[in-house]
Amino acid sequence: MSAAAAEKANLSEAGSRNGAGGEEPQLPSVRTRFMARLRRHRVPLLLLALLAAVALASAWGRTDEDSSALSPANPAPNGAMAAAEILADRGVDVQHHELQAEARAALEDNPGATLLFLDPAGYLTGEQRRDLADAAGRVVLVEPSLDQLADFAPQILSAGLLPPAAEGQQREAECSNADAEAAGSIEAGGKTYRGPVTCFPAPGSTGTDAAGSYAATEDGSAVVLGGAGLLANETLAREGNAALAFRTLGADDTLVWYQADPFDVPPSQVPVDPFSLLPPWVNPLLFWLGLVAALAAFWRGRRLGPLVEEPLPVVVHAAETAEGRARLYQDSRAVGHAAATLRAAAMTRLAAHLRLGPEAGAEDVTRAAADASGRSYPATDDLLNQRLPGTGTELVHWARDLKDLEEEATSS
Amino acid sequence: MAVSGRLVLLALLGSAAVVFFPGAAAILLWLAFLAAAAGLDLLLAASPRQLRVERRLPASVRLSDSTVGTLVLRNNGGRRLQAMVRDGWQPSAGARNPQQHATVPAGEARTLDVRLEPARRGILKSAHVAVRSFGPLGLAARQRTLPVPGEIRVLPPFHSRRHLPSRLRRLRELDGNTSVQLRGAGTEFDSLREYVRGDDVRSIDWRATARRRDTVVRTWRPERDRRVVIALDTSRTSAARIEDEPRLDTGIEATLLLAVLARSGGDRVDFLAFDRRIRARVDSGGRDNLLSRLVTAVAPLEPELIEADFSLLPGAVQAVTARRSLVVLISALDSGAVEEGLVQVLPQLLAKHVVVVASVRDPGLDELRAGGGTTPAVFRAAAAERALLDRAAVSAQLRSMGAEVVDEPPHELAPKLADMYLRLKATGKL
Repeated sequence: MSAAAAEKANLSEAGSRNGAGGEEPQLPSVRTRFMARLRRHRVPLLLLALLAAVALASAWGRTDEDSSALSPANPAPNGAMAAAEILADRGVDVQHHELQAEARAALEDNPGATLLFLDPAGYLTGEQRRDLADAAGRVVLVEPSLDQLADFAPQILSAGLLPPAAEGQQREAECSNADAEAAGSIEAGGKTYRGPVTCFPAPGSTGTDAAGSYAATEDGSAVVLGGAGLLANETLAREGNAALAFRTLGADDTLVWYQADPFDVPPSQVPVDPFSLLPPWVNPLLFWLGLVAALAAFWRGRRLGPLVEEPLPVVVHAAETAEGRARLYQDSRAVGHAAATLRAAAMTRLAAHLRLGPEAGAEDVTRAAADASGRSYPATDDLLNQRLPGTGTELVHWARDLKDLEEEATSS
Repeated sequence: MAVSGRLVLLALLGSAAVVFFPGAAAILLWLAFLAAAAGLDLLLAASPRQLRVERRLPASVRLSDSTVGTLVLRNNGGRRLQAMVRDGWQPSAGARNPQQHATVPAGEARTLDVRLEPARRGILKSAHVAVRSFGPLGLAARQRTLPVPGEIRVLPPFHSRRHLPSRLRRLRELDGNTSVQLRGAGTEFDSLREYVRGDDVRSIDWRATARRRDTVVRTWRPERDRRVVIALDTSRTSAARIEDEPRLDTGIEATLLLAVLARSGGDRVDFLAFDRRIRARVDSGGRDNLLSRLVTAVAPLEPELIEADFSLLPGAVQAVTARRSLVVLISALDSGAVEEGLVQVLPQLLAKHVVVVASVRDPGLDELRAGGGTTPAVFRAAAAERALLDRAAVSAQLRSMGAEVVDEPPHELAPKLADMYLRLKATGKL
C-alpha cells in the first residue's frame, strides 16, 4: 500500500514539473494582452469616442450670441445687428431691452424716445402693452398682431397677409409720407396694414382704402412696418429698405429696442382651491379613518409574545475545498498541474483495475492499458506520457481522450 | 395590552357619526366612547398574573416522529379567563398549533395540546408562554408573557436500524460454526458435536471421538465480552454537509448501528464524543438499555468549529479500559487534519488496540471527477482527483500503520462499518 502511495506521489510530482516547464513560454506579452483587450472592447470604445466627439462639437459650436429674430445683437441673416450698429454710428442711442420694466424705465428716462416694439409671440398682456404705450413718445411696430395694434395705434388696422404673388417684389411708395418717399421703393413681405397714412400698397389695392406694407398715424406717433425683412440683416440693403428703416427708427436721439421675453409673462391668477368644493365632512372623515388605520395597525401589529430565535447550524459544503482548488487552478492557469493530477489518478485507477500491483511503473501501466484497450502502444504512450497539454483547449481535448482510454481499458 | 378586531370595527362604525355630524365634537365623543368601552373591558378581563402554567413534555422524541407538548393552565383568579395562548417553541420544534384559544373558569384548570413535529436533532426549547386575556366584550385584552421554560430532547432518527436484522443474522451464523480456522487462536471453545461433511478435519476432537462411536468435532464461537470503544469526532470536519447531512449525523447513525450490533454480539460497548475535550460519554457498565442511553447522549451533540485534539484519545481509551479492545474512530480523512493529528497518536493506540478509522466519503467529488467538456469543468475534475488522491494516500498511510479504514458514502457508512466489525469478529482479531 505504501508503495502505491509513493508511486502516486511520484507520478503527480513528475506531472507537475512537466506542466510548469511547458507553461511558461505560453505567457502572452503585456503588449499583446493590451491589444487583445482593446480588440475585445472595440464597440463600446468606439461608441464612447463618438459620444465624446458630439459633446465636444456641441460645446464648441455654442456661443453666447443672441439668436432671436430682429435682435440688435444677432449677426445672423434674420437678426438686425446691421441696422442697430449703423443707427448707433449715426449717433442714435440704441438701448436694447428684453424686460418690460427695463424698457419702461428707459422710456421714462428719455422722454420722446422712439420705442421699437417686437413681440411676435405675444408674451405681453394688454395692460403691460398699454403701460409701454403710455410711456413711449413714438412707437414703431413690426408685423403687430390685432391686440398690439389696438393698444399702440388704434387708428391703424390690419389688412391681412401680403398676397403670395407680391412676396419679395419691389413696391413703390405711392404716398405722401416723407420717409416713404425718401425710400422710394422697398422689397415687400409679411403683412399689410391700413391707416391714416398707407404706403407701398399691395398690388391691386389702390385708392383711399389701400392696404400697404407701411402705415402710420397722421402725426407719425405710431408707425407700423409690415415686414420684418425691412430690418433684417439679409434684406436691409435691398431696394430702399435701409432708408425706410433708418428714417423710421432714427427719428429721435434715443431708440428703445424692446424685444419681449417669456420672463415678462405675468404669473397666472391664483386658481380656485379644489378642496373648498368638497363637502364639509370629508376632512373629519379622513382624520377619523387615519385614527382607525392606526388602531388597526396596533391590532395587527401587536405580537403575541416575544420573537423566538432559532440557533442555526453552520452549513459547510464538503466539496467546497475542491471547488476552491479548481478555481485556484483556473486563476493561475495551472494547466500542467491539472493534467498531471488527472494523469496520476487515471494511471492509479488503471493500475488497480489491471491488477498490476504497487510495483508497476508508468511504462508497465501504459503497456497494460494499450493491451486492454486494443490500442497501439505508441498511441497510448503518446497520450499518457508524451502529449501533455499546454493550453486550456488542449487540456479539455486531452482529458476527454484520457477518459476514453480509461473507459476502453476498463470496460473489457 | 392588546386590542381586537372588534374594537377596530367599532371605530369604523364611528365614521358614520363623523359623516352625519362633521366636526371635532363627534370625533371626540366617539373616541371617548371607544376608550370607555376598551377600558371597561380591560378592567373586567381576568388577570394573566393569576394564571399558573405548567408543562407536561415527553423526555425525548425521535426525529421524524411527532409528539404532543401539553400546557396546563390553572386560573387562580376570581374571573373567567378567555385568552389567546401562544407557546413559544423555537421554529425547528415544528409546533403545528402553537397559538390556541383557551377558556378557563375561575379556580379551574384546563390543558392545551401543542403538536410538535421536530425538524432537527438536539435539545429544542420553549422559553415562555404568552397569554392575551380578553374581557367579556372581547374588545381589548391584557397581555403577559409568562416564563415557562421547557425543552425536549430530539433523538437521532436511527435510520440505519433497517440494516440491523441482516447483520444480526450474520452474527448468529458466526455463533457455533467452525469458520474460525485458526485453532485456538483467540477463540473460545463452545461445544462438541457430530462431524458433518465439510467440517475442517483439523477440528476433530480425537479424544472425544475415541470415547464415542461417532466422529466428534469441536466447535468454537466468537469471543464474547470484548471491548468496543467508539470515538466520534465532533470537530470542524464533522460540520461538512455531504448529501445534505452533516458528517456528524452520518457518524451518529453508524455509531448506533455498530453499538447495537456489538451489544448483541456480547461485547461491551463504550462511546465517547470528542473534539478538544470529551463532549459525551456512555460507558458499558450502565444497567438500562444501551441504545436509549446512547441516543440520549448523542442527541445534543453539535459540530464544534474547532480543530480536534487527537492526542487526548489514548488517555480517554485508557480510562475506559486497560484491556485490548476495538477502537472505532469515526472522523474525516481530510489530509491536513489527519496528518497533523491522528497519524501522530495512532502508533500509541495501535500498540495495544485494534483501530478502525471510519470516514464519510463525498459522492460529490466523484460527480466532479466525472465532469469535462469545458475548461472550468476539467479544472474541477482535476481538483476532485487531487482530493481523492490525497484521501487515498491518507488511507494508504493509515493502513500501512496497521489500522483498518472504512471510507464510504453517507448511506453506506453504517452498514459497511458493521460489516467491518463482523469481519474482525469472525477472524478473531478482536
